[in-house]
Amino acid sequence: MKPRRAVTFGKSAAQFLAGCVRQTVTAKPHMQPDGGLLEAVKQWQQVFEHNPVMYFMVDPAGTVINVNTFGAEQLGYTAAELIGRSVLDVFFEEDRDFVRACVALCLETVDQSHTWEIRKIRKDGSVLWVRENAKTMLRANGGPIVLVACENITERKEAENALRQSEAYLAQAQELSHTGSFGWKAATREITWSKETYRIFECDEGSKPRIPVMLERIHPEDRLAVQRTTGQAAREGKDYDHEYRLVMPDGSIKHVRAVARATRDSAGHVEFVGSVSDITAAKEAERRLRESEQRFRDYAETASDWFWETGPDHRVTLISEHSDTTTAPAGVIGLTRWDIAPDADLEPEKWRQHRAALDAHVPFRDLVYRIKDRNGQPVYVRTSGKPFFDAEGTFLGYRGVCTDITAAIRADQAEEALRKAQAELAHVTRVTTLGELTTSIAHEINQPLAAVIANADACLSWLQRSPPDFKAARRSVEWIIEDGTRASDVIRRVRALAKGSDVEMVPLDANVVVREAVALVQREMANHAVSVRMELSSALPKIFGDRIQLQQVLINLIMNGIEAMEGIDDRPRELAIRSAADGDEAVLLSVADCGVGISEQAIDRLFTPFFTTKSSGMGMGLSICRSIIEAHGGRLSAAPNQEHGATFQVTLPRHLQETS
Amino acid sequence: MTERAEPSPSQEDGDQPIVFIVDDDVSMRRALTNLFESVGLKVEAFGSAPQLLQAKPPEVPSCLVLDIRLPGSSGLDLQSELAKANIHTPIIFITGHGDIPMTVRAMKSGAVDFLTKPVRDQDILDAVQTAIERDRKRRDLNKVVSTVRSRFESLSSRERDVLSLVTSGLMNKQVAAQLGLAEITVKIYRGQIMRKMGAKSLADLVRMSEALGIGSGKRDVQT
Repeated sequence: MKPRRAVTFGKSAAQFLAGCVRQTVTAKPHMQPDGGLLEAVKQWQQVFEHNPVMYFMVDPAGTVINVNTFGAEQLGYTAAELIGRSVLDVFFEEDRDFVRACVALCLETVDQSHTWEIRKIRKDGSVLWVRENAKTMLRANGGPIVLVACENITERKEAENALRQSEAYLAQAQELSHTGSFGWKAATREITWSKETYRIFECDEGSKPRIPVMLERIHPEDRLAVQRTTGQAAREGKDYDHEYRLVMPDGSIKHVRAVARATRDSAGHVEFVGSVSDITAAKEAERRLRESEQRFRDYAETASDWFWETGPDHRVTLISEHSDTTTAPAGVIGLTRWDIAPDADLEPEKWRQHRAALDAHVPFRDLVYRIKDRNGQPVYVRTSGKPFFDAEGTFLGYRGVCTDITAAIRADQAEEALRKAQAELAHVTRVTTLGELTTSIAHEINQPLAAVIANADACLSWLQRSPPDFKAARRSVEWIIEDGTRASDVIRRVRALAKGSDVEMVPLDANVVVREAVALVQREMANHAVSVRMELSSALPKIFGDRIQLQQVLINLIMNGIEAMEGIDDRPRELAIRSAADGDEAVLLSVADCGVGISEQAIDRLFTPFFTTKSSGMGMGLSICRSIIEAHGGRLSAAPNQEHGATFQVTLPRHLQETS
Repeated sequence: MTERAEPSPSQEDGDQPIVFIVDDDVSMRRALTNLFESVGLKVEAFGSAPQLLQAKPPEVPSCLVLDIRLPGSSGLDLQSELAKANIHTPIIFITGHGDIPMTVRAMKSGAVDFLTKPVRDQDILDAVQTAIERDRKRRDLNKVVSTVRSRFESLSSRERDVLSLVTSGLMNKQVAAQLGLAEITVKIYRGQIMRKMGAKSLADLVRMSEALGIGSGKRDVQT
């Protein structure tokens, strides 16, 4: 059927129109076609062909029956190419259902025109947006035909899209910048808000913004100011810019800044267009910055330190001054550090290194030198500095801090002197103790020597036998060596104990210290019929200390124990020496006797110098023991035992492994 | 080097003298043992007095070498304890440091010698020899006395009476008069006594009775 019709109405719209006219004429036999009518048809044909509107005629099956040249050209086709094809071919696949529905609607409602907007595909694949106006007409033979007139709206569509896009951009930008926009017609009190503004005020987007609702949100303390500012702006028609706080439904505070520009509408009424920004984060950052600045200012002003800046030539350009610093030298601007320090010549190496660091533009730390303060008094200062550069990396100088460390240095010196005095005192008492131990020590040395001599005599005797007993002689010599070594060990221990006051702090096994101390007083204990019971824990952490001083303490405690049991005859004189770990952090050493014990009053004064219950001795022993233990970071205490005697306890911190 | 005392090969093994050592110091104990053994002496060493006291008392000539400063109880304490236990082994004291009161006490209590450490080998060996000799003599004497005693104990009470009077120097007829016997009877008793006691002469008999500690008292009564 389609081809037949196509033949009937020709290949072009003009032929179609001519055909129509002819039909019309033939349909009305009483009217004779004349030249005038044909002329009119020709004119209409021209109009049809060259009208800048696209015309399509489509049959109910959707086949293009006719199209005007303009219409075909707009789609990049010739009319002949389109006629006879399905009109759907020029639509996007996804739009075709819509086209079918539109055509169906037109066919159902003859003579009614319908309008819609739709995209078409050009022959080259590009998009053509059109506004279509369509209507179904019944032809003479009663068959329907859909007439479609299309108007190119591509430009408008693109503009629309661009607008929509830019609106979307704007909304996004508002969201990202936490800045919403608003409009306010002062006269009608009408307000409009952007999406982001709703979000800032945390209001439901569906609700119409109203001034009372807005005021409700504003922090009570800021409400009046906001009303005053906006009121004045409205009266005077002036721009405004203010900040205020909002109280959110959850009680949190939001800082906002509103900026508005005043305009007047055609009627001369004041209108505002503005933005409102959530500046809470910025406010918070600003508060923190202010706080941190204040903090550093406080630090700087309370510290006795002063700040300095030097230029590229290392000359002082700036020195901070605050009231309580008398140390900061005056009149040093323009001088270099080595001009100021009087010790520059005394320690050339120190200053050479310092200047090398400065010339290399590297930071320096803790340079200590001497200067004269404002009153001309020598003071020690310590300074650290850091180079600074401009944006291009050009060296501009150094900035740094200087501290008066005179007091610390003096304290160090005093402490050093005290430490030395203590060590010397410890040494003196140690030698005194050794003096008290002379008899025992002489015995300790004499004993192995006597054995050496006896073994040597025996050796000779074995050799003088006939035949000589070499095996026995050899064994004798081996024993001589053993005993000789033992004698020299005793001498070594005594010499160590008698050696100078130098303190040598090393990691130590507390049990070894205990055993060596006990070895030195073994004889003394035997002489006083004292037996010793050692309970040494095998799982002790290392301690850190001076072997000799710790031995001295133990010997002192043991000697005290021996003396405390001097008059005891009704029970065995026993001294218990124990070592144990005290948690993870310390080692406990204790010496317990079963002697006369200590009274409560005596315990308090036990460790004070010159306190003694004995007829002999200076009473320095325990006081020195305590200062030795305290210098080791430990504690020395005494307590009476439940039954007899007293226990002295030493706690020493464990050695902390140095991570170097 | 001086000549050293060699062990006499003739000595029976069971009769070999023993040196006892008590010293708490291991190496001193070892060295002394070594020294004595090198001259062929038998040695028994102890670390403490109680250890010695637990050991069986020796039945051969012996001596004791003691460190005067023993732990617990001193050497002097041990000395008196041994005396109390009726053990008369001669004692040689060794000390690391001369201590006069101690020396005096030790010597008074019958110590053979008192030597200070380190001791000269000849000194201690001489002291040991002397002590062992003394002990041997004491033992020999003890042996004689105990023989005489057992013989004495085999006498009848009448014979003992006669012995007592005879050895106190009375004539036969004086004895007979005192005991109310006939002189001949006394003579018979006397012959029996001489035989039983193994005495060859009256002098022998007198020595024996002196060793037993009998007879003298009665003579005092007489005079």
